[in-house]
Amino acid sequence: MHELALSRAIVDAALRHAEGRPVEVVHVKLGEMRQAVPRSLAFYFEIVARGTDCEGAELEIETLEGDQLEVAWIDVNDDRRRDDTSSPTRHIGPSAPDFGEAAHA
Amino acid sequence: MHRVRVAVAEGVLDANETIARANREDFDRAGVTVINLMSAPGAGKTALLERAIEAGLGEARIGVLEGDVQGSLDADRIAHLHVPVVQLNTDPGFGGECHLDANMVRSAIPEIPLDEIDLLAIENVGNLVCPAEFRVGEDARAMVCSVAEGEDKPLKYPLMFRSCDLICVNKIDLLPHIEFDLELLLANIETVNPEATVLTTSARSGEGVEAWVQWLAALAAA
Repeated sequence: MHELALSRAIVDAALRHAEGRPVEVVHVKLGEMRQAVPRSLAFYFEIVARGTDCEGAELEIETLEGDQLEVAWIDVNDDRRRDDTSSPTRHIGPSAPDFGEAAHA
Repeated sequence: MHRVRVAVAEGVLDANETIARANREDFDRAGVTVINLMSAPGAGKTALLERAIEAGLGEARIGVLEGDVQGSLDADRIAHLHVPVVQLNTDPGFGGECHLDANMVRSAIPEIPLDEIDLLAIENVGNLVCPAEFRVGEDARAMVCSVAEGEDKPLKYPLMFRSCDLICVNKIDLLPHIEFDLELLLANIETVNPEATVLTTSARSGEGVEAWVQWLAALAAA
């Protein structure tokens, strides 16, 4: 379940930066202290990515010492842009909340 | 195909952190101190909250946000003590997650009577892994570790133990009946989090509960 939750966050971050373009590779830096199993992370990533612009993307995991947990970069197919309706982006997880004023502080 | 590399350099949990800060702003505006209470299932989070509510926190008024995958068993227990309590289930609506995240807590804030409380205790879903990852807008983190879980848990789940300000070693009334080395557990806690305040408690016998209550009262008054 730990890896499932992290996979959702990874896909969400990748989709935000892909801006509607199909994602080919997602490169993640994973600190050992995060207690996440790379194989399990990849398993859940494949499931969570289904139906999104991350579907079929390769998850590259760079394991490091420490507690880092970061999406370092993504490779996207730039031939299709956001206005290409053949590539719908499906938001995953709960809908984005209203942050109120604090989000802009 | 024209492949382009996009630099992201974004913490996987940055989105959660943003929402957690928004929650914190809302709590601060309302003058409410928030504690995120975590543990493995069955360690005694609800029982320790019950003892604290029964004892009272001085001038501070407490409310509880109960996180569970399903059901309202714990919220029902708290409700019997006549304090505000809101149940937050992760199933349905949040995919049956094994933890609370900032977005889930944000969805519950409108239900919490913030103007009627000074301290909000968020009882997280019982789990020693995922809740440690997701801040929800709390001022302090506390965890309950029961002696029935074994001495090795701080070493097996260091992120949880390291992230907490207070660690309650609970169910010490069981010590005469089980093979458990309390000194070894305390040494293991010291290894992973030497900064934590550590209390030994029994929600059943009441031993150590006064210190737990005092810690909560001091947090609320801070």
